Amino acid sequence: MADGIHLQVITPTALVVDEQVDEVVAPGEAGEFGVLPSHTPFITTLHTGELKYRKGGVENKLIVEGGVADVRDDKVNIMTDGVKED
Amino acid sequence: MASLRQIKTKISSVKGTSRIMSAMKLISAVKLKRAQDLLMAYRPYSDAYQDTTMNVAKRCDQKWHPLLRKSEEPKKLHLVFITSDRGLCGSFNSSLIRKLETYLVTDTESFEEVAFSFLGRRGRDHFGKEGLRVTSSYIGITERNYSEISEKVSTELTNEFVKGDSDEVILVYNYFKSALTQEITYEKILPIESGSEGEDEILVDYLYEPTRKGILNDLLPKYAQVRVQRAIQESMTSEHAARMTAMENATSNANDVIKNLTLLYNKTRQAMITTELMDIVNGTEALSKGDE
Repeated sequence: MADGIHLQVITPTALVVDEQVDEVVAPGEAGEFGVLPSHTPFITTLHTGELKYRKGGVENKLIVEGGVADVRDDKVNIMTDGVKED
Repeated sequence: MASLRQIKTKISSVKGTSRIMSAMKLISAVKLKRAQDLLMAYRPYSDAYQDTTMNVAKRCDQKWHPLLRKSEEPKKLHLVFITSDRGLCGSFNSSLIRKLETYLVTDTESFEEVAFSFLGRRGRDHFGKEGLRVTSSYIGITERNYSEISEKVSTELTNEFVKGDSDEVILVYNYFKSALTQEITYEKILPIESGSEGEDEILVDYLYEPTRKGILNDLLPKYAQVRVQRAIQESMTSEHAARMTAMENATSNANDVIKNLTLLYNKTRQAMITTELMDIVNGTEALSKGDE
């Protein structure tokens, strides 16, 4: 289970991110939350804010405009209305 | 036999038609490309949305949200029928209409009430005359406004469903398989139910944040909208593809007609020349006989 998390960031017009990462930090409705491998199933709505994900020590950032995050079986699906590159 | 002039006019009119049709084909090809790009971009989003919603629905009791309410004996059916506004697209609309007509006869017996929503002029015009219960109809759906329209439609559908005015909502549309094949599709979108019931997998319930109610209230209506928009996009892309194919066939038919007419024209012309020659020869012979 230590191969990380599969992160997908999807908007109605594009598949923005589709890769294997080590850690995801997203702007949840009830505050920022982090996801590491073997996280329990978790679903939350998102605020507009910064989505960070780390892969091999490199941190990437995106601005997501609301949406839903679905965390399940070491997968994080983020469906958002739009993203902006940071 | 038709006169040369008649054939000539006919050829030039068919040529004109063929030019128009090949222009329409080119326009459809451009529109298809654009619609297809939008559809291909939207598919992963709507698939992901569906996946998530199904996973949530699997873990939920149907009492937790009105959109999950599954009737034991559904009485009221609502059909959302998606066609195009314009014709000249082969059997795109007609086969859909025919399919729905059979469906209405064979598959809706158990329902007491069937209501309709029409997206697209063709379906509305066809079924509008038959005195069916039409809740709403939309025409003039384009690439620019389909997301607003899908929102309006899905809001209507979900409100109606929540009030108990419908027990089942089914979308009927052409699914875009490829530029050459479109598939007529029925899709039940309400009540929201996960397809794989009765499976033995052990489900760990989600942690919902902020609350389960809040998530369901956000996720489920949006899901209905996503499904409607997806269907509209599938249908629009299919329409352009169907029109492109239809226009291509029509152009090649027109070219065949032109070929045949040209052949006829040449034959007639040659026949006339022969007749004229014979006249001249006969004439000269008659004259030379007279000299002797």
